[in-house]
Amino acid sequence: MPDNIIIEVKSLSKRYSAGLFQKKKEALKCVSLQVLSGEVFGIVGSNGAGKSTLIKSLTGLLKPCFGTVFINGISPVDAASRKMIGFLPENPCLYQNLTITDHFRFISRVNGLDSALTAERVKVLLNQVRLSEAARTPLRKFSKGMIQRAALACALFADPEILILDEPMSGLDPLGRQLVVDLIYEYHRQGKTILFCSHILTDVERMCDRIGIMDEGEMKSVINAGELSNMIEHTGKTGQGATPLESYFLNLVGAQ
Amino acid sequence: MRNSIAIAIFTLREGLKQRIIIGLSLAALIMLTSGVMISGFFMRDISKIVVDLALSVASAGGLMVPFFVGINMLAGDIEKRTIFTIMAQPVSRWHYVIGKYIGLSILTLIVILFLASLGLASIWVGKLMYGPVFFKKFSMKSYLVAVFFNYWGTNVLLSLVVMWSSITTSSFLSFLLTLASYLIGNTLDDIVSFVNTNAPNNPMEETIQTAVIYLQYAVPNLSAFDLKLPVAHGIATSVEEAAVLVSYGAACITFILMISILTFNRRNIA
Amino acid sequence: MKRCLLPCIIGLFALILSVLTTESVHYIRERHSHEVLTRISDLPASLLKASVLEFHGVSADLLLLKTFTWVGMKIGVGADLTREEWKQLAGIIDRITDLDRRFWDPYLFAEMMLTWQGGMVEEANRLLIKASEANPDDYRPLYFLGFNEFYFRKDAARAAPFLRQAALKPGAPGFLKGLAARFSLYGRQTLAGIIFLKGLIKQTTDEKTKKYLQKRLETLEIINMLENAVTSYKEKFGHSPKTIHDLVTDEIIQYVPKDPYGGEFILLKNGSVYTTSGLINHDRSRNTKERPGNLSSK
Repeated sequence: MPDNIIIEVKSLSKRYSAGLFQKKKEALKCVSLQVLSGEVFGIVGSNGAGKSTLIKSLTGLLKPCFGTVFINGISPVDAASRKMIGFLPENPCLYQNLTITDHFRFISRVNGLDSALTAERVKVLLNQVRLSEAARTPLRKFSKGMIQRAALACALFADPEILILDEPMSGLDPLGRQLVVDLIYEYHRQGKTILFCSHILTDVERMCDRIGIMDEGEMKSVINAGELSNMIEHTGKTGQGATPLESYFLNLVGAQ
Repeated sequence: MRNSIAIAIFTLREGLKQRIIIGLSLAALIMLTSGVMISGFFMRDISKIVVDLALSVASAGGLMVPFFVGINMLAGDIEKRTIFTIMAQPVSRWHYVIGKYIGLSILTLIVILFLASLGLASIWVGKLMYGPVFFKKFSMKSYLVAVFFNYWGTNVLLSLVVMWSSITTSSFLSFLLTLASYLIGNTLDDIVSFVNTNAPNNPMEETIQTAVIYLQYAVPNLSAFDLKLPVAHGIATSVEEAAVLVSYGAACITFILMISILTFNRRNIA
Repeated sequence: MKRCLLPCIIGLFALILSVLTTESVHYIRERHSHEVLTRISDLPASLLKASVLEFHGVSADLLLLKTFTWVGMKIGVGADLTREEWKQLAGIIDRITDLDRRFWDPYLFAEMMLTWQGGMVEEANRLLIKASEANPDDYRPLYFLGFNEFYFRKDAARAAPFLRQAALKPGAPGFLKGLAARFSLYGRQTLAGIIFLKGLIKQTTDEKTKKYLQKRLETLEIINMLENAVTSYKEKFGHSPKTIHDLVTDEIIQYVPKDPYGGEFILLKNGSVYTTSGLINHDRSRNTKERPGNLSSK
């Protein structure tokens, strides 16, 4: 077992109901996962496969029913675990009446950054997500793409070791997508760990070192991106015009 | 604690930018102006009318914070999932609960102080219009004491908002529960006295009577913090009374916040 | 089609405007608001208190304001209150003072209306006792209690203790001290009424009420003048005048002034003067049989 495991999930199970009187749903069934330091790990799966539930368990938003999660050896119950995490939720919602700078100021305060560093980070990040001009605009005037970029900037602000991104590309135009991809590469180059989930397989395929495939709350398979083409050849089945990951995914999930 | 304060500042900033605050000040201004005019219709107790209205506007305005801003920023925070912005940071659940409470409490203080000073201005205008003879009974000190206890009572209500928002999943439910607590907390004294009168036409059953009598210990008595009437009549609050009220409020707030933290700790935020 | 649009909109607008400005809504609202107001007295005090939450003071203020409008409107259109309505008024004042026991205005209003116009001295006294319990340091409730006993009940012996107690309260005006003695010394209600009304006018800021009281004071002053003239007459001729006009023919006074209320002054056998108007505007003294406001001393 490699000793540079940064995220460790052991037989994680989660059942919860959407409403008070609704039937409980098994969102995660005994999921185990190890993410290594410095890799880009992608989780793919159809809608309702349990990707978001897994990610929310990693950030401590959901309490697991069974199993354990460790972020660099710390349980998500402990707030310190989130010192290492930058989290971009799915369809991020920021405070509508505040500006992006207000959000930065808050994050810098809870992370204990000093003012000089904060000022520098604000400048750099606004530049990176191309929101310098909108620094003083309340977020209710932002477009969906701008919100997504602003939320990404919030996730990156404290310069975390691990980036957890839930559908980072959704709602972005091609330019915005490229921006996110560039940022992920940039952080990868700096040796940070990136865990992200998406149901857009091409995005995952072009960026990830390893890919986890989830379906109906189970982790069906974890593969190295490099081995994909070999595996496809073994099974022999391909969809028309499909990329290797798509073919593999369809075989694994669509078969049932 | 540093995290709580950061959350409090963040909450306060968000609260101050809500447009409801501006509407509130406008409404208060209109009410106080008309109040000064109306008080001229009365014969003797002009100062009582003006002070009544000034304090009522301050407490009604103060109530807007828990009921509208508070629900919106607690239950709404979870409902709209803006809470992820805060919870994704290295903060604990209790930091969140305490921070939100403190932020809203400071917001309430600002609103009440603002409205109370508008009220003072209306008293001053009333003095100019009707002559200081009618305002002999008015005492600045007891006015401020009443404003403080108004704030303190609103704080208890605010802690109830925090509790209901940490238990329920929808802001509407949280609003209803808070409203119920407010109504019960304010009417309990009178209902108990109605139950105790044993009037011949009292239609209540005995079981209901006992239920009401026990209920008064289970629900915070919000009407205790209402000192508007005595102040309007120029009656000062004694130090003992004030001490009892302060500690009663503090005990309520601490207890309710503890329950909130306990439930919120176990809760899934999805 | 487009040409029609503008006239159509203007027409619609005019129609809306004409509906909005009709008075009927106002009447409906008025009737209902008074119905609600007069039923308030049926509600137990504790339930009324509960229903206004923490806004007892303001609710009392607004209810009293509504009561003013109700009574003012009734009197303004010349319709006196019926027996039933007087009872309701007493009930409303009772509820208002349940909400705010120390609120002096409703008590004062009750004292002004219930006694002089409504003939409900009993009710007024009950309210005044409530006021003196709520404000133990206030001389006014006791003063009015004393006055009611003396002026309406004509019982100087029961009035005296109230007035004595009133005189002991902080802030009581100096004249109260000798008042009990003076009241019984004069043995005439007219002077007591004048003193009382003068005090009341001094306390009133509302111009309408002031005028209302001033008219009453004016009449009482005329009666007082006439009664003094009768005394002079007796001193001069050794016997009482037969009618009020003897005062003019025998040159005690130059003329009999007109009653501001439109009545006629009549001399009673005991030497006191009475007016047929009973100090109420003449055209509407129908509803109540017994008028404590008239000065028909026995």
